[in-house]
Amino acid sequence: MRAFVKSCLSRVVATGLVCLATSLQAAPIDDFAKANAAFESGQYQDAIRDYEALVRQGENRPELFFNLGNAWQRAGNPAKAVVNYERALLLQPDFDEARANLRFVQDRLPSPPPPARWWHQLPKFGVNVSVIASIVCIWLFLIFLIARWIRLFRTQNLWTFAAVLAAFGAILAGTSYWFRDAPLASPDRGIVLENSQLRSSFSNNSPVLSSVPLGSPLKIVSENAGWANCILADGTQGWIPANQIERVIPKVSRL
Amino acid sequence: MKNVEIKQRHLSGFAERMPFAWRVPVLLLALLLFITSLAHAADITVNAELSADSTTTDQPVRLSVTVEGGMNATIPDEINSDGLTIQYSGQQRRMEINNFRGTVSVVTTYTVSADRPGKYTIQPIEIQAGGKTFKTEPLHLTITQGSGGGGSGRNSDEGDPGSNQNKVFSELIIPKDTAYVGEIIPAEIRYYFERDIQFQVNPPGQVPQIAGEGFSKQRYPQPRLEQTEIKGRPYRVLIYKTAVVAAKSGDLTVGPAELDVVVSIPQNRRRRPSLNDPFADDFFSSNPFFSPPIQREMNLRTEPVTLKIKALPPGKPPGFTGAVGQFTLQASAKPLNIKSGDPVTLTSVVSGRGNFDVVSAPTLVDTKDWRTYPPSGRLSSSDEIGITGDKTFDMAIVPEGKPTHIPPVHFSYFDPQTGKYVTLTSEPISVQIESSGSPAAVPDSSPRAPATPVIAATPTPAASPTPANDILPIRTQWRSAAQTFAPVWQQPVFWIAQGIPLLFLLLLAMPKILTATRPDAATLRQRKWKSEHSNLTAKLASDKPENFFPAAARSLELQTALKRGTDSATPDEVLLTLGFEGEEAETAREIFRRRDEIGYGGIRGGREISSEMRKRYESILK
Repeated sequence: MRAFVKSCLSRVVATGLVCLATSLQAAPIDDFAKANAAFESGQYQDAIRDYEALVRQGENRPELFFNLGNAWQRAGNPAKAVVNYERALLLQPDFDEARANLRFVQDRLPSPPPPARWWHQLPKFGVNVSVIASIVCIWLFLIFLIARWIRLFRTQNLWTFAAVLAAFGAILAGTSYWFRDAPLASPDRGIVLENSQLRSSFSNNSPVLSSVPLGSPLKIVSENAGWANCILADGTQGWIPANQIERVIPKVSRL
Repeated sequence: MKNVEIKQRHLSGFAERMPFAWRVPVLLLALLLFITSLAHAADITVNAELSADSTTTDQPVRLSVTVEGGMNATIPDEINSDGLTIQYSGQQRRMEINNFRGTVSVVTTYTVSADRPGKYTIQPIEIQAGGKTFKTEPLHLTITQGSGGGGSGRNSDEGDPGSNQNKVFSELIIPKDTAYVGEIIPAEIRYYFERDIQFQVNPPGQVPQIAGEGFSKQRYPQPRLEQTEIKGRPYRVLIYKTAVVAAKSGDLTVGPAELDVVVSIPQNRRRRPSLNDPFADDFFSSNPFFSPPIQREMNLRTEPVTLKIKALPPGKPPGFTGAVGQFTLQASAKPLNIKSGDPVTLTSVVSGRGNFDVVSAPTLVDTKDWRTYPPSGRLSSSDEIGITGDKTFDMAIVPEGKPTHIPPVHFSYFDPQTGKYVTLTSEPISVQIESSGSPAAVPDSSPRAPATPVIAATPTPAASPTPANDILPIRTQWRSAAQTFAPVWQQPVFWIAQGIPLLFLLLLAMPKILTATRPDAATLRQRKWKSEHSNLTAKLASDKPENFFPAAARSLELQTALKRGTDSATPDEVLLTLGFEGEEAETAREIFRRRDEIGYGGIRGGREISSEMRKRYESILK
């Protein structure tokens, strides 16, 4: 227990120091402006190079991924654009322009996604908001129960009603997290970068299970020998060359 | 020689280095042509003509008098005409041989100019040739007033234009005398080179440097090379166009404009023309074969021009950011059929002529129902200098609520022609906001809404269509800090933060917990009895009766107390409570009896407790 507390404290201190150092360091606004200038002048490959350099520096900002998505779209790679719009939305779920551009690009893919269901139209707050809302509701529920137990203010019915409300909120937020936000934030999410084929094994000689158009979403189960074991949206599982897919959440992400 | 730096170097004449043996055939060839022309001297014609029938006071014309077939023609050096200034400017001789028949033509040129406009007549010119007198036809010339006006700084680097020494000169032309702060003032820098002078900008690509303070200048496009004629002399003109923008009011001095060039000037052997001397012809004086040019590095500098700059009048409208010129405004939006929360790209195009550098994005008149994002602008120039064109601003706006239209945008500028501020306002654009559906990629079917000027109307050019479907523009600024993709619950700080409500919860519940866990009297008694019972262990292990029997009896009483909850029990109650019967009851009675004997009878010592006895006693003490 003591070791765990010590570890947590050391990580908090380290995170604080990193944040302090980041805030003290001049933000690479010039590099961002340079990349934007390249984009505005039509030099999309140069813009992509500069934007990705910023990403490698750990500048995980929604605007950066949004612009990178635009650059990929202009450069003729809509699948890469989709990946980066998704990243922008993961960081900022209410990024309306990124959502509009994502839908614009997806509608022009060889296999556009199915129409959004009603629950997809609900306001999107993101995985972090869902988790925090769930936790807050759980704590409120416990606090209201304690208040009822200790007969705080002698208003038993009020505490009961509040505890029920908090429990309902926790269930709602938890449901939103588990069924809508968590799948989007899963590190296993991937996008197919080019028209590909799903095979039954990790070999070019293995039978083809289905064709996978570029931009298709999938879930990456495992990787082996340059191949990725994936599950498509229709539930079909098979293997795709790993270099033909890209994870929505990059493996290297600054904490 | 004014304002001219001549640094250098004479190339030794090629003709002078020509071997003597080569000069003889050249002279013989010339002599042969001369004799041939003499053979046909009998056919003499004279002609006089002007390069133009009309001109202006500041643009002279050329008078050419041609004598064909006359070798010994006498042409007057001076021609008098009322109101006109006619100056001799040169003579050229052409010799042609066709079918072994030679023809000699002598062309004498004059520069004709006048100080005042009017209609003039050049009387017939008398020419003596071949022993006869010939007369040219009278010539008519109409002269109008020159353009004048505007500032102009002319500087002749080798004398006044028209003089024999004038070969290179320059001028800075600014067509206005007064302007406003921020107004675009076109400027033209002209460098004149006599036609036979070769020149090159040094270093290549250099542009004129305009001296002066209190103004900024636009970029230079590629210079233009033209040909012109001044006072009968042909020139090549290197023209640089630019524009200046005054930054403050008052007298503004623009220039001089300097440019370094390298010129190749042919050696001038020109002598007093004499028709009897064929070797005085330009063929020898201007031909590089005989007279190689002299290369010079020169610094060409115009005269400065002074302008009067006026400050912008008071009463600047809201939103005025310094734009000065003539502009129009158009606004369009796409898509127009969206759902709540989806962005719309509002495109505003400011077109016209002016200082586009300070033209900022038109702003929404009313942002009540719309969330706006910083616009991105791009300039498309339609001229070389960048003062005319379109500046397009794309601004993402997101409805907040269900507005029925996008409010107008307005743009303010100052019109230097009218001297008034103008505010352009576009028309509102209807928009349909739905509660569901796909908002993106709805074709833009709405026409652009032209702006309505509040003070003065300007013509609206046809708008260039924007793509109907496209992605929204990039963000030019980032407003959020660098983040992580890791969910919050994977971060230690999240779990540490849970300590706060947990602590609050514990503090809230602590009094109740303490109260709930406080032991009552019975529990305390029970604890006390258990403690006392556990303390008897040592005495029960003793073999001495005075230690063992009191401890054993007390053990039975404590067991009874733990069962009954009271500590006062007689031996019979003990037997009854603990359920001793028969031998066990007898053993228990014996323990109580021996205790009483020790306690009340004072009996000490006695036989130690044997192992058999201990086994019997312990059977009831467990």
